[in-house]
Amino acid sequence: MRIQLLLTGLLSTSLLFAQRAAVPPTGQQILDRYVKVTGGKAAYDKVKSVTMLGTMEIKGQNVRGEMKMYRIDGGKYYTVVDLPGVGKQEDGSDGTTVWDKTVLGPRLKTGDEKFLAACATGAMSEYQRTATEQDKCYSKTEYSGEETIAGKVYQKVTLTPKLGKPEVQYFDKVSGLLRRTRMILPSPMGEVPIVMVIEEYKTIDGIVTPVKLVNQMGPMEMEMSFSSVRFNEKLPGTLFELPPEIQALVEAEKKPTP
Amino acid sequence: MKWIAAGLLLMCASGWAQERDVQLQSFDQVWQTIANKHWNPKQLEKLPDGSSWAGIRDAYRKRVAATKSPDEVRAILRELIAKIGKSHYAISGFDASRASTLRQGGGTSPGFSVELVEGKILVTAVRAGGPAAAAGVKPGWEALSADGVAIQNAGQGMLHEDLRRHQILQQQIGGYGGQTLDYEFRAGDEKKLLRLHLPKADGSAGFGFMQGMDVQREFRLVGQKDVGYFRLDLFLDAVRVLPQFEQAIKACGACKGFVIDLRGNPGGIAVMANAMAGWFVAKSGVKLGTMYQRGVDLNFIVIPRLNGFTGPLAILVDGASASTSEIFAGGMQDLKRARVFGSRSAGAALPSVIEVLPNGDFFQYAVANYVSASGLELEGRGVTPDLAVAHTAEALRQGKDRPLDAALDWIYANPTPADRAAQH
Repeated sequence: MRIQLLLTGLLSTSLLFAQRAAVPPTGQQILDRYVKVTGGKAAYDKVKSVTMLGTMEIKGQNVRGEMKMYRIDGGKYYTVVDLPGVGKQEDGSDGTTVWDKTVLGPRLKTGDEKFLAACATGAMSEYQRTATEQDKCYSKTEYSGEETIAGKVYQKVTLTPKLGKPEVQYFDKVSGLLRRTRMILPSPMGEVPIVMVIEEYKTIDGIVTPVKLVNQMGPMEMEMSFSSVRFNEKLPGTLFELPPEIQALVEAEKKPTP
Repeated sequence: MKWIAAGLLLMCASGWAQERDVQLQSFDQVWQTIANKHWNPKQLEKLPDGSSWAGIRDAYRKRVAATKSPDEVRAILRELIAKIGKSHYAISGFDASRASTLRQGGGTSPGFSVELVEGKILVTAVRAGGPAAAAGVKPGWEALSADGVAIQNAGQGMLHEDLRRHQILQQQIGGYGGQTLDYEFRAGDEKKLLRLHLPKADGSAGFGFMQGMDVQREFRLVGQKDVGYFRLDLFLDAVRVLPQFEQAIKACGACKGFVIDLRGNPGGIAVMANAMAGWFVAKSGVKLGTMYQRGVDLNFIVIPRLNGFTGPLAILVDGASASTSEIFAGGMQDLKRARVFGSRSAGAALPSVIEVLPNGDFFQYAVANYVSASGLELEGRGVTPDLAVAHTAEALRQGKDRPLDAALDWIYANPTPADRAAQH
């Protein structure tokens, strides 16, 4: 009888558990879990500057260059990728003007592109803005079910930016870590569908940080691998000043059109 | 002795058996890559000869499995990719059976170029300051041999015949930096034997697997020394070429016009075309065309540069201007920002990538289709010049470059500054 009760109790508990498991998590719960498993909000709040040094490679094409990313609180960032044969491809913001300077020439970013580059202003916003500054960038967060990829189960969260197209983030159901993001990036070349896969994390100063990422764009794959990630390094303010060509564009915009 | 010979034979056989696995892996990579990355899978369902990519796989794989040498594999793979009937599909590797038929010099130019003109291989350009100019080589001379090997016409019947002929001809006269080569010419009735010392490689930066090629370029003033002329033989070494191009534009602010010579330019890094176009376009939001890839369509946008060149722009092309050259010339023609002079371009305009196969050969394949802003596919069609004008033997002998002269005539007859706004 006791056994029966026990079994009934177990069955009941199991049933109750199953009922609870059937209730899907909210998108916010998944994001909160991500913040927790990667170090917690308090740890994120301590980071005022980020330096990431590594390489960018177009996979299978023998194209590989040095990559440096610097970001500080206040929406200031500077990224440079130096590709052999092509030269420096730069991207930055002084907290007001968002720009890039590539082989195509210098350019000021506007519209959705500017918003998505600048909506988050914290030092950790390059790859962690969902965790740290969700409210500034997104108007809606929804749980979108589970998906199994290569035997792993992912919980999907669809985030709708205040400007731009929704993106879907895939969180490992077991670890809670963000593993991929499917998004449509606005660019001057048009809308570019991208899948960003985070292949490797490392714990740095208590924060589990992405250090190896692969961007899949159509038939091309770009791998970014960071051998050095440092937090709260003192960075010179000049790093985030507008380059002369960008400053010239800003001045030209101020002039009235003839 | 017999045993040793038999052992060697066995070793060779066993070596090739292992090698054959690598060759099969190479076949698989070629077939699968095209199946996965061709921009339009529907085209693979019905190839130009009516077969399908999926349908021909097994037969070709069996043929590779039965081969006895890398050359055979290469020939089969070339036959396979030729089934697609498009440019930018290539297998490249050292081909022992083909090596002896034509001279294969290196990538360093002796300072002159040759083309088939009126049935003869004639010098069409001599680069100022180069070894050919120093030795007195003149346009219009017939090029007979390089390094003791007769220079032969080739490429007949090949896809993109003019482009292939141009490449094979330049390869026959080319060499390696620092090399000294003997060249034989015919100037009128006289034969001339000249020894040219090829300059050391200039350290041009390649891109990806496109390495070791000197990027020949020059800027000078032509006509009445008031028209800028920029010649570029390859769209590579962006790190140095683009700043030099910028300098040329800035040095030419008061020029009556600008000529960009892309004759013989087979392409290279596609975005260099957009970068150069930015110096001639004032309006935002224009593009040179669209690149259609599987899953991603990318616009070849042009970012206007401050203080660009607003005068008339002429672009010179010929049958060996391909790929990025066609994207630039076709795109600027579409935008009505340039007039194109010369002869129809190669019609080989597909953006492509190169990767290494397990057997060590290079495999180039197209990843996108290119369609100009006006909706024209340049692949197989090429850029049609606004004014078709070709070299003649007589004009070359007189030191005239007819396509360039035609461009200059247009520039001098053209638009006053007030009319130029219509070009933007």
